[in-house]
Amino acid sequence: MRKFLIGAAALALAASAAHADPGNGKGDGKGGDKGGGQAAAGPADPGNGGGKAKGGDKADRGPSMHSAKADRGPEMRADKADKGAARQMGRPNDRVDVVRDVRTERRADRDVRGIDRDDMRDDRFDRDGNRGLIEGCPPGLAKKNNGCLPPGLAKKRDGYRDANYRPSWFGYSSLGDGRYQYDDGYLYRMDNRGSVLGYIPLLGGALSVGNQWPEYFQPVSMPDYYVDYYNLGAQDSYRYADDVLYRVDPQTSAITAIAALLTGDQFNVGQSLPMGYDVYNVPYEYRDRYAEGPDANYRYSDGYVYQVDPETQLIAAAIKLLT
Amino acid sequence: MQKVTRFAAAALVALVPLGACSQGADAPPAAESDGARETLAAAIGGAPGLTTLSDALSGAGLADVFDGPGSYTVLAPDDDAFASLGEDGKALTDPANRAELVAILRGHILPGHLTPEAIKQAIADKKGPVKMRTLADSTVTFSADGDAISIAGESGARAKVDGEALVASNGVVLPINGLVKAAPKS
Repeated sequence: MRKFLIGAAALALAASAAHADPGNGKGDGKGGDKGGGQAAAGPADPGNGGGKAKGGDKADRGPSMHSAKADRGPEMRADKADKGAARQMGRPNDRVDVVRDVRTERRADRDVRGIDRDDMRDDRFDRDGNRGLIEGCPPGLAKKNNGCLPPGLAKKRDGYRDANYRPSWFGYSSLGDGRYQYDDGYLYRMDNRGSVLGYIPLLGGALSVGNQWPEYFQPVSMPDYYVDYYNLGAQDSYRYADDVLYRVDPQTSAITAIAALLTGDQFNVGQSLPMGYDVYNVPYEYRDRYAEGPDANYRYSDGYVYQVDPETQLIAAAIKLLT
Repeated sequence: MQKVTRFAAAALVALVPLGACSQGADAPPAAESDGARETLAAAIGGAPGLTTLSDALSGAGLADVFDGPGSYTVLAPDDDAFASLGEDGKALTDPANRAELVAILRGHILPGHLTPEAIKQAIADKKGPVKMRTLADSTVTFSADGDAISIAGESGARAKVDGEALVASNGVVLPINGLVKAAPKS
């Protein structure tokens, strides 16, 4: 099995968190009626949380492709640069209080489904599973003399493509600097002799519509909320890598569409708003409800609206915008 | 799901200025009231001057993202911005370089709905430049430049908002006159 070389970075801002959710079940369907008529979000639930949930909520999702990725719910990633610091999921004592934006009349439906509040307390998934440098040569590229050389790198190339890239330019900030070159949909880690040490398949390159999902990338089971919010469908019909959600053909595993781009940012109730959310960005349909005011600011990320204390900039609540 | 209709007629929606006291109390854009707003992909596809970007998004497979349920703001380099790149701009449209193009485009996508009014309000509240993260694990910095909004990428590349914001059902398009992320030079 190929080995993922995850760069170990050290900027851990905060621990990950689990979610507590006072209600479950789906709202009124994602689409044109996302916001209209919805009731005010309920209060953040102070009771549940505890990021210990790991797998207990997966029974209704079918068999997990691999147990380590059975968690669901938005992983509250410690930091983008913390990708290398272990892929373990359950981080106890972390919590995000979550309220769900749903119509009050739907609450009965949620109860009928029998989903208790514990089901949604953990909205994490294995973000780091499909991230990092893969040792060796990409499929189809033969090794030669202790290395391999992609055809495009074997010849003199024109223009900017001769540039050495930092992986962070492609979103892989955990890999640090080094000699990387791009060719034909992959980013290659080169040694001083110009041989390939490893590679990263890239969105828009190897990970493009029509291409086969690479076998070395394991399916990642997404949280129910993400499945619903982004209309991902059954577990065998989507894939995740590097903060991107893909739709795949369940039979062929061919990529059929790019479903969503995620920030991957971590929001923990009681902790500071991540950097880079200075501007009010709540989707239009929710602005009446989550309007900026002297007592609360609101920011959107990856399907959630986060309530923020204007004075302290601490996150007061995470609000699901389902659907 | 709505199809990407590059050449579909797309109403260019003028934003109504936001209330000075509350960003959340902004009046809905004109097209919002009719309940028929198009998707981001359609808005970009129908916007004059964004042809290169629209083609790039479609070619890169990102158009589906902007037809989907996620909420995004697209800093949309206009055709002149791409043309000013010269040969590098042409190289970006080469399918062999598509992953690089996607990396650049991701640096122009922000989470949620940002309007010029909200950006200006944030700058005013902070009394200086404000930052927003992109979908490329980076940030852009907004600052006031007279009545205009200036945008700087992490590499120092700068652009200005040079057109009316287009409000779509799932996001906002802010036309800009340059790229705030570019490929490294060789």
